[in-house]
Amino acid sequence: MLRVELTELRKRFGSVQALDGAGLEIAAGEVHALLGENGAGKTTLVRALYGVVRPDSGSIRIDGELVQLRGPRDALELGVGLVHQHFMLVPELSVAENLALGERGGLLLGPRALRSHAAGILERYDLGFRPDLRVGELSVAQKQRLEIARALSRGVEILVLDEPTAVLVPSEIDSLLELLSRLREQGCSVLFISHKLDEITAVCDRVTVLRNGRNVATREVPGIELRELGELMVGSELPPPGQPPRTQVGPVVLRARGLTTPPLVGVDLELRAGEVFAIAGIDGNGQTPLEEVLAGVRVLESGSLELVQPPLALISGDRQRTGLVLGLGLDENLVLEEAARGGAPPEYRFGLVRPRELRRSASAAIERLGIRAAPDDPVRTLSGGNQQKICVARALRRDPCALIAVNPTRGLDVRATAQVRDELRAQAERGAGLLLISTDLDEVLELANRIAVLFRGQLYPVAPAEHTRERIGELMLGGAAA
Amino acid sequence: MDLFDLGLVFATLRLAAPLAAAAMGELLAERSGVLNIGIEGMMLCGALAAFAIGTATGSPVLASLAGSLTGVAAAALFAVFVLWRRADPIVTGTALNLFALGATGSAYRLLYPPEVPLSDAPAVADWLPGLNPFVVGTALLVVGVGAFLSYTRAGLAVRAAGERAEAAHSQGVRVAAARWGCTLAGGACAGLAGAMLVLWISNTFVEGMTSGRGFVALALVLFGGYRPGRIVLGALLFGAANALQFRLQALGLEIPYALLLMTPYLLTLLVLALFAGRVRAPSDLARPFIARE
Repeated sequence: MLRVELTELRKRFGSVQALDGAGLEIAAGEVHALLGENGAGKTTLVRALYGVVRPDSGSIRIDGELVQLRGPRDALELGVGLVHQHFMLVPELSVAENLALGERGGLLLGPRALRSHAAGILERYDLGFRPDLRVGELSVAQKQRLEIARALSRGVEILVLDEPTAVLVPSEIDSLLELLSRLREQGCSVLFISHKLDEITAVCDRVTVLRNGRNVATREVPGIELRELGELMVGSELPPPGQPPRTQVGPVVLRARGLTTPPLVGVDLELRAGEVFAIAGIDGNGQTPLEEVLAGVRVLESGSLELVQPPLALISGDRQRTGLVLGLGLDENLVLEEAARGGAPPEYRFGLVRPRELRRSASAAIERLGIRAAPDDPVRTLSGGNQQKICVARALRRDPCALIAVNPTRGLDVRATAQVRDELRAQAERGAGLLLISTDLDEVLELANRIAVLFRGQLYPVAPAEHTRERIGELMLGGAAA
Repeated sequence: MDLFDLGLVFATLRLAAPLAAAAMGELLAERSGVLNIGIEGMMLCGALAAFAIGTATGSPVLASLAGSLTGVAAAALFAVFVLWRRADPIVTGTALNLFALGATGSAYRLLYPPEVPLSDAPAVADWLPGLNPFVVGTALLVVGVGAFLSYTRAGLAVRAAGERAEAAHSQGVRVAAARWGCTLAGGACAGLAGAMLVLWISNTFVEGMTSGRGFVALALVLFGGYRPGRIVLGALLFGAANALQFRLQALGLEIPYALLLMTPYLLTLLVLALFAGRVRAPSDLARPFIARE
């Protein structure tokens, strides 16, 4: 019997088509896995099932019944529960209050009723914490157990878990997977989003693969091959259009030894002049901490970082938050870094700005990268692609010897992507060392001379002979760790 | 006249009650996640309505009711901008305060031209010395708001909406309804506080007669740590300081009266700031919430 049928769901956010005809079927008593790259539409799909996202078109059936979900209230009523990636608990309230939140019942809710209601649930689901504890004081794994218990206590029979293992340590993952099998025995249906193949083969019955908002395949899990899933997830229909730069590799420009800060464990790397060294991997395996360490804004627990050949420039992975000052103009953003550092950019003299120079250099950047904007346009008003090009232009201003680029083409259209990649390739050909941290496998294959995969905080080098989509896809899923 | 006697206690209650009532309105709104800066304006609207209905009907009950309802109307105007159109609450509240000051002043002059003899608003008399219906009403209001927030299912939903609107929504709490409800109820409290000023304290309407009491209520909520009991203590302190400085003025000491006028504000701020310690506002206070994408 089918508990859930999602058919032909479409949803557009601004210029991004998050869902493009995605679908999914979950049978009764089944643990169903949902697999896909970042941005494939997994989260949007489950949020549609929970009534938080309103699909533009398509249908949702629950137990054969066509439903219109106006919100989580409706979904819960139908027995659908979602445990979000970022927990939906109120940390300021107690465990008991969180368990009672949204429950129907009498008008009054005194402390005693609150406590006994909570104690019952905590006992039934074997959770060993006090009802009056503030949720903010729980560990991540405890919060997750609490969320799952809350959903089940509310009569949820179709439980959706959005990347539940991303926040857990291995022993906690094991007990979560155990819990999922127990739920299946009790007749619950579970939809389990994960990137990690070992988890999928450990507990799931079937897997649906999503790519670019569409479902690519649904397969029975027993007997499936790692290679096949990796291939399905990243797709292999598009040949990489560009080639890695062909240059003479020079001396080391940046060296890191044993970088350790959670979740990074002893990351060693060397970046040489004239090469593109790419770090591939699925988001959440330590990319952001690595970027922060390299940018010098995160303290290391141990390890060392040596910039052999300055200057170093960084293209931030989050252009809106750390890359740009959105309220300032394009021209001001270009010179901000140097001006703030107390450097002597040609646009300033005696600490005073020279408007004509500022305008001239901004116009030069606009022309070079094909940015569609005026020099003094506030950056906030520009498209993501144009914003990204400003970040690139700024990074290249001082002809860096070491250049770090984090997801430099995320969210850009095909043309802007090609432009940015050409710019980066040209930097390596000029003799700079480029460290590319990217979750986009196409990008890695297109640009890199040398590749390593970041998985759960560790770096796994990939031999040149293994620079294939299939092999790297496998490593991204934990193929080397298994 | 002595400096301290029972009269001072009565005067304290009289000065504290409107503040406490207005602060309860602000507390409700803020706990649901709405920063209602317009409490002063809502009080003023309530005061004028209470005066108009009071002089017309002679009924203090009808006048109080009119004050509350006008407060609700003003709060609805605020909510339309802030909750529905997602305007900035600070700007909207400031605009509402300025609008209320101008509108009540103009309306008063239109309704009561100087050449027409003006009758007093009906006074709400004490039941027993010091025991005014408004004192009882305010006490009930404080206990009621406190009990609502702590001991009811709806109160839990309100607190969750103020702390983490998205989390509350994901558990089926109607965040928008909670915020609208609390904002309107807060307007009723503010309107009632305005009516108290007219029906109990001055028996007439004066332009701008709230003279910053709405802002004092706002400060009381913050420094009282969002707890009804502490907020009332703060209101009583302010009332006592104010009553005392009136006495000191009456004693004719050679202290500039402006300095005396200032002391209650200063004292309240100082004491509350000492007790405030680590006051934590609701996490989602003044953050707009969008239920569906």
